[in-house]
Order: sequence, then structure tokens, then C-alpha cells
Amino acid sequence: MKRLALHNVGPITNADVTFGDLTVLVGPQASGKSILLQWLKLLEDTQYIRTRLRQYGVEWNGSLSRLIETYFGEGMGGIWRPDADGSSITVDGDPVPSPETRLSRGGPRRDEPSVFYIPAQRAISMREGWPRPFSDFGPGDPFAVRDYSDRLRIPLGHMSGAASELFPRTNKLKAALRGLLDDAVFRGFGLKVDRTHPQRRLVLGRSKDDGALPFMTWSAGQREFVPLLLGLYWLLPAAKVAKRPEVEWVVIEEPEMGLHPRAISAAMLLVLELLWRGYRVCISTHSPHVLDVLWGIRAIQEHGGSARDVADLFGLRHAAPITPIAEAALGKTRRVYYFDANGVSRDISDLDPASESDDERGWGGLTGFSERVGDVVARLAS
Amino acid sequence: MTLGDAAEGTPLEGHVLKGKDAIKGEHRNAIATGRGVTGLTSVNLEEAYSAGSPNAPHWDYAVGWQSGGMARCWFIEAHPANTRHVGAMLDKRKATRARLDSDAPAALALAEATRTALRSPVWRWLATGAHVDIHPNMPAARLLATAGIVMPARRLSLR
Repeated sequence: MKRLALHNVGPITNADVTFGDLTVLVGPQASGKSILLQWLKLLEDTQYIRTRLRQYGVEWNGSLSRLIETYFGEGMGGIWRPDADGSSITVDGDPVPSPETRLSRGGPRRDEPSVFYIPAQRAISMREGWPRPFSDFGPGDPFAVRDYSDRLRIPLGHMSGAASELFPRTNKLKAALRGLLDDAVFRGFGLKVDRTHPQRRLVLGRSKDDGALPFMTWSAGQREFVPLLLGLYWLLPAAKVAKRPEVEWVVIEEPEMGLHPRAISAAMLLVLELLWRGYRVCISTHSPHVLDVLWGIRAIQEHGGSARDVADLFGLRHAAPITPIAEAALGKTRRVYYFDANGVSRDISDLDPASESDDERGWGGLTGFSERVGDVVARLAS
Repeated sequence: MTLGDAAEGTPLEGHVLKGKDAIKGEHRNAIATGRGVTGLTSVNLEEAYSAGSPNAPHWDYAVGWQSGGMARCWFIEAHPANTRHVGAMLDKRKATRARLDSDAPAALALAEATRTALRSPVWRWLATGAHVDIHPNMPAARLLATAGIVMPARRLSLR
């Protein structure tokens, strides 16, 4: 899929998104960003969703409203409006005449997703420091949350012995990235699977002799970041394979959750690694730091900069370890869309701080407040 | 008191030109006049001050106009919008303000009245070149704000 347009779906009046290699959606709460991203998965991964739901005894049939409610969660069936100027979907410029038929059509079993969806609610995927299984959630909980939590259990379930050290781990992530994450998120603590009790759990600790810190003692940022890291681990195979062959897309909702800007920049470097490995990435965000990275890369491109400049962007002293990632980032397409409060999307990909469009100049409201504060201070200081 | 009035008996006298005549051709189109703007005049501060202190940093222009029955004044510097130039902009603004304070205080007072009436800063950065490489979340933008300079813009609209 290259382009997805939704009309009158939930809070969305008109959203028309042409995807880049990296696509970022910004906008106020409940403006439809997540709905559009979940539709992307629903349309791309229908058979996978059907397979997973059936595995756990959830029926995938009935009216479109019921299918939507099963997938998006309880109370969400009403986002589809069947009236005269009702809801419609367009994929790559072609209207989907009957979404109900498309979604309920049978097909071959599919065990791996094409869209790996990392939801904003990822912190609640952990209970007592271990990912919750699919059936641990209520039937009215969104599929994206249940599925993500359940999938985290796969890599953890296979870990034993020395492999139970999750971070830092030499065969996972480049050393430069590990350094950034250690500095910004883990602060000298290691993440490991604690097997001193029958029930495994993830803990943080400085050394074998130090006491283990269970999940609830972690900082808010660590509780948010670890479920994200586990998902990324799965997407970044340590073997010579660059990517999971079946996965084309990675959707990350609000990668900045709970994180200090230094940690956000580390998370964004992980996003660039995903791009380098060949995934297409979609992000929703409320963080100007995420857009800072896109704006910086755009400026580096426009001014004829190099991988060295990308390394500088992330505060890395040595460019060599991330040169392939940086060079790939400079060659990828990036799109940014603003979803306004009226449910209309606007292309603000240029992120021009001097644009005559308030939406683009203010980065969809993310820097608009800073601009206003600056104007007030400048006026008073004149 | 208009900008022309404020310039009388100062080094600016004789440099107050009608409309945008004191503004270099490449910058004129980027300065627009809103509805109700009359009596536009402009001063090339660089030229006005270059005789006395050719090497001192100066802001490029002063523009005066009338709207809503009030005289207005802004100071405009056309400059590449890059963080590397923020220091130069701060120096120019500081030196120009000191110079105006010393020998053309009425022009400064007119700008102060404009700031109060329009609730808007009067030290304006007109961005030249293809790129604007400063955005409001940068420390550089905060430095500018603290000095009373607005974020660079490709077009300015007098109102």
C-alpha cells in the first residue's frame, strides 16, 4: 500500500496519507492518527488478524460494525458510519467498495504479521514484569494491544542461560546504540530475565550480586521503553538476516512515551536502523524531538551533508559504526502529516519553520506553543 | 510622530525615502503592506550610519507607516536564517539600539509605541536564501526572543 485515505471514519473527516519509507503523524488527541494506522494494519493483515483471533476463540464474522468492534475494541463499532455521506476508504486511489466483504473474506492461515504494530498502551502489556498473554486481556480490548503483548512472549520464552541477559547484549544492537540506550534509559543497569522464582520476570540490576529491581520499581520511562525494546529486538534479528521477511511495516505509536529527549533520540536512531534494514516505518507522535530528527535529516540532505552529520545529530563521536544506517536514512523518503482537530490531514513534510502555513511552521502544534512563547518574550524584550 | 518626523535632526534625516525606496530590490517583495497601511517610508540604516562608523554592525532598515490612525515603525534585518548568524544578529541589534538611543531616540520611541500598540516585537529578521534553519524549539530561537528579535520569516507583513 502506498496511499490510504479515510473519509468520515470516527473523528476523521478526510485523511489522505501517502506513505514514505518513514511516515510520521502528528495532531491533537483523538484526531484519528491511531485509527488510520490501525486501518493500515487491518487492511494489510486481515488474514493474520483472523488467524490470531481464531486461535484464541474469538469469532471473526458478522457485520462490519462488529468486525470493527472486535478489532478496534469495545465501543468502537460506531466509528464506521453507514449513512448517505458515510464512511469510505480508498487504497492507492481506488475506493474499497465493500470493506465488510474485504475483511470477512476467507484466506490462507497467516501466522506472522505484515504490519508489526507497537501500540501506545505497551506498558500495560507487562504484568509483574512479564508480557501478558492474548487471553489475559478482555474481549473488548484492542487487537493491537493484545497481539503485541502476546508476541513479546515469543522471544522471551526461548531465552535460557546466558541469553537471559537482555540488555546490554553484544549480539543485539550496535555498540553505539547500546551506549546511547545505556546512557539515556538504563543508566548502568542491566535488563535480564530473573529465574530465581518459578514465575519468570524481567528485572533490572547492576550486577549478579546486586538485588534485582522488579518492574514496579522501574522509572516510568523504563517501564515504557522495555516493551518497545523487546518488540524491536524481535524486528532486528541478530543473524545475517537483515529483517523479518514477512514483516513489511512497523508502526510505533508515540515512541517518546515517558522518555527524556536523550532517550527519544536513541529511540529514533533505532527507527533509522529499522529503515536501514528495509522496513517501512509509521510513527504517531506528540514529540517535537521526533520531528527534530526528520527536520535535521532533511537539512543534512539539502545542504549536502553526510553520514558524519547524521552521527552529530545523535551526539555520536564516531560516525563509522552507524554510517550504513545514516547513509540509508539520507536516501529514504519521509512524509509528515498533521491531523487537525476537525479530522482533516495536511501534508507538512517540509517542516519549514518559515512556512506561511501555521500548521507546517508550527509542526502541527508541536512547536507552535514555543513560537508563541518566543513571540511574547521577544515583544517584552524589544 | 511618523518615522520621517522622528528622523529630523538626526543622522537618519535625508535617508528617509518614500515607500520601499530605501530597501534593496531583492528584499522589497518580501515586505508586504496589509490593508489600511498608508504613508509607508523606509530608511537604509546601513547607509545612514556607514559614514560615521563604517565597520560597526548595523541593522539594515527602519520602516515607518500608518495604520489605524497611528504611526508605526519596525526595524528589519535581511539575513540568512541560520543559527551561525544568531550571534551577528544579536550584535547588530544591540549596536543599532544603542546608536538609535544615542542619536535618534524618537525613532526608538516610535518603535516602542508600535510594540505596545500592536503587542508585537519590532526587531524583525527577514530570512534570505532558500532555507530557514532555525525553529522555535532551538536554544538559538530563545536567545533571539530574549533579545527581542522575532523568529526569521520569509515574508513580513506591515499592519
